[in-house]
Amino acid sequence: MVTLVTSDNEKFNAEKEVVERSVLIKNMLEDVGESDQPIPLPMFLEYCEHHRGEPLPAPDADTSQDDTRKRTTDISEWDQKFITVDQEMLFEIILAANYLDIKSLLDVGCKTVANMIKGKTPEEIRKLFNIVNDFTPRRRCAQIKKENEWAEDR
Amino acid sequence: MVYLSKPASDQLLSIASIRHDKRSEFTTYSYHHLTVMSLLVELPNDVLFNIFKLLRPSNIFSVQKTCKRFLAITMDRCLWTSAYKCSEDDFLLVIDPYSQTVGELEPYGIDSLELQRSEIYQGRYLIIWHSRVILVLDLQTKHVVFRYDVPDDACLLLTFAQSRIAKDSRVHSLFWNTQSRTMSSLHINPLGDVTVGDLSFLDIDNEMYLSGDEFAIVPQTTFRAVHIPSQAVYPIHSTSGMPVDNNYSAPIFLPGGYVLFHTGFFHELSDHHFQLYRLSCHTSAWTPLLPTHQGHFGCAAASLLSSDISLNSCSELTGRIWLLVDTQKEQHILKESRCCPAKRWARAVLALELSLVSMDLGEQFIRIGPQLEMDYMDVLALDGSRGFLVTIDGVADRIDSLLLLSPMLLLVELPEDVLFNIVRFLRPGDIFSIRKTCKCLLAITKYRHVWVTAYKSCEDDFLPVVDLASQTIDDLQRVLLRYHQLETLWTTPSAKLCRKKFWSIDAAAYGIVPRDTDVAEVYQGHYLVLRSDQAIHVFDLRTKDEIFRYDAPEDTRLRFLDSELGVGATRIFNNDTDFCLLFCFTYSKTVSLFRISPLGVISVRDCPKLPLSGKIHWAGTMWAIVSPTQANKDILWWYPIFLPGGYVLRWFSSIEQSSPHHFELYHLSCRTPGKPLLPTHRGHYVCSNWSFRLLCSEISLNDRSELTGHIWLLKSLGATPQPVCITLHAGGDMSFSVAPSLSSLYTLDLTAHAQGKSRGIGLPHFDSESGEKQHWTLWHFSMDLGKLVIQHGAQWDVHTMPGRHLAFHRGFMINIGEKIKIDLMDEVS
Repeated sequence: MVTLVTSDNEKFNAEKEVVERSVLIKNMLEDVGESDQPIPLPMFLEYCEHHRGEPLPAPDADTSQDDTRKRTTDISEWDQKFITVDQEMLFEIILAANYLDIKSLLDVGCKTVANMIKGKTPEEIRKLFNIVNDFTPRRRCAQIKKENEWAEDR
Repeated sequence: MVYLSKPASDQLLSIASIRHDKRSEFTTYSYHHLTVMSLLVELPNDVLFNIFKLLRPSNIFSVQKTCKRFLAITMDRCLWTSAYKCSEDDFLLVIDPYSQTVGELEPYGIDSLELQRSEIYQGRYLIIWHSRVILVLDLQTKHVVFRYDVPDDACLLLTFAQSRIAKDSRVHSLFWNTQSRTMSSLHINPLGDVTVGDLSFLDIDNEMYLSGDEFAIVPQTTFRAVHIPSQAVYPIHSTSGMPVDNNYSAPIFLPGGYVLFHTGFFHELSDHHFQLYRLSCHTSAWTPLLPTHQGHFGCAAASLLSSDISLNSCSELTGRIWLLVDTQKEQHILKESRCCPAKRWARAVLALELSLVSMDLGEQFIRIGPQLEMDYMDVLALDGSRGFLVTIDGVADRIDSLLLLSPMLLLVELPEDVLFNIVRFLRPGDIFSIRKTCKCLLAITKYRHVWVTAYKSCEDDFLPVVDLASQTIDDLQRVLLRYHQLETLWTTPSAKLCRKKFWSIDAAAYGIVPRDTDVAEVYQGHYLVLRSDQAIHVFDLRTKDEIFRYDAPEDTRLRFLDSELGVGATRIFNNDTDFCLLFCFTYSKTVSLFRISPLGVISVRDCPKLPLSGKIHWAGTMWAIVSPTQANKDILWWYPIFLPGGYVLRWFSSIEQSSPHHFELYHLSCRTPGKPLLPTHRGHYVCSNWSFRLLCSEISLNDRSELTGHIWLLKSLGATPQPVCITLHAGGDMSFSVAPSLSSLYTLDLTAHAQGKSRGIGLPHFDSESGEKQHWTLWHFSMDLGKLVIQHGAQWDVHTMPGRHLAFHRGFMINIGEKIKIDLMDEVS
């Protein structure tokens, strides 16, 4: 068993197999070894518990998959329910998954954001994510013209 | 560690802001100011960070404008996270998981006219109720997150959405139990927590106002306050000692146990009298509650936006209350409003400044909002709408700051590597969209690997094959834009072409006698290949240039490989789809294979052992099937279909019309030398003499190393094309399922890519005899093989030329006559 301590000092006990879905925790456990010393980390036990037993991605999967990974943004039903949170929580999950190096969870979060973006116009994307249009009008015209030069007929 | 109280930090910051604002006059300030100023900026970062953590968001915004160092410190995300978490305000969104859909509203059988509604949870949820049911609807996901059915022995009197009062933002309702004739309170959290409070100690059968589960106001002849936990009831008096009577409007509860009363009718712009009471400060059940502040202001009735009330260092109550009021510039119109409800109203924010004993209703804080045309009922319905506030300019800083603190800003605040990870899942069209939103996302899309990844992730036959290593970012974007345009053409219902290109090739000038089999598109429609007996010409369809020409030796006749089926089979079989195969049938009776690349490189492979007695069907450069000579005239052999992965599907049937087709699947790459190749799967399908074409296939080994999967074919002969799915079972059997016919369209061409989408071009009818000099309308459609949903794309009027024509499916059509005319569909609106 491993003791995880959240940022607000709550303690959780979890099985090593579960928490080792996080590469960061796995590496820390390997460095620290079996110890009673608590590890201060945020909790993602629910996700890891559900996905326990599933094969972990290979360490070099990132590079090898990039060429072959197709643009599928399908998310399993459970993951979809898990990730149905508001935007702040979604981004927190993404940041935490990135920090903890939980590749599958990071992908689920990124796919969710990608699905929110898909098929929307720039204005709709701005509205959805509260993005401020910081292009100045003059610069915008010049920039758009410059960026579309290549798209003109040759 | 240095810890500064909030007033102290405010003082320091006010000095800091003086320096910023009065920089030019700085030398005239006293030495004391200079000393303090230098001390502040010289504090260590962690100390400054601790100070800033004590500030309100609006103050942090002020601080970060003072100097670069402060700006750098305030860039720490923890500071803002802390500020957000510490802000108990209804402009900050709350978090909640849920699963139900809006469609569940309909089965409830609720007439929308009976419904009442109110927003709760800072505008995140909408509560809808009528006498028998309470529904909580998530306004962002449009899901019903909670439903509460009112018990049979009770009726719902009122529902309050007093999210601004209780920290947990629960919904408070009142029930009147018809059997026991007692009142109960119901508290609902959108998460689904329901608690029922006992109000039976109150001998009332009338309405009352709830503030969470702690306080209530009972409006009978006079207002009385109720402390629910202790069941204490005490009267509310004005400063004159008189009880507060029903001339006052409904009380407005404020956070911290305060309540605000005001006189006047809801939409009457008379001089309203405001009185503030501190409910939590009551001492004795027999002592009336007296106001802490009172004041007058002329406005229509108000609803609470926000409040900030606290005790100062002298234990005096000070602060501000922000109200949303209805007002009107023209007084005389207002007077008519009650008999003529459809009048022009305005929204305004009213700030009540609390001084020592009276309210300073500072007019300088009033901001008139956008003028809205609404009638009386609309005003009621819009009351308290938070979306409205966003449009008001110049509202108090605090509101602006909180809006700026919206968590939705976090997308652009995510680290670059996370943004790259998100962009990785976007299609090219979406990447083109996000780059237009802001500079941050534009910068992300300027990295080359974004476009390389986008290119590699696209599995589609609209995507031209390019050498990625030699492509610049602009080149890649151009390729992907073209892909996006064609994709849009095919997937957008009723897309209209806004530009067409026409191109005509004088076939005679190239020594070409036009025939169907002389023209082929290669490289996913990027190039066009024309063949004559003695030469091969390759044109770039984009630049319309002839980029390659091959002249065969004099004793050689050139033929397209598998010319009967076109190059489609080759395209499907080879995943790289980057070449066109030809065979060279020479007078010396040998066969040579040519590989043409757009770069002009030809590789040749001689196949001297290949028997020439039968018909040869080619699958790339690896495999060929030689059809048997028709020894048995009762058996009709059909062309084999090559599948990705080294499989071939072949079938035969009896000449009799009603006999079934016999299908066999072979795995070419699993053969044993010296032994005949045996089929992995067999099946029978009864149909007329249809010809089949491959749409797509998905074959793989299961956990027990058995071959399973699906093969989608199209019965393409005739006027009603029909998809057929062959399921490969583990035992070696095949089963067949037939989808409904596509339509009455005559399908000219149809293909599919690995994502299970199929595309085709259809004509409303097909009459080869009367095709001369007439306009054809093509319907481009895409078909999802799983659901068989046909989406019609752009329509395209085509004036066909005399003679035969060919239509290809990647955005152009070729008419073959005296001249080879090519219509290129280029862009869609």
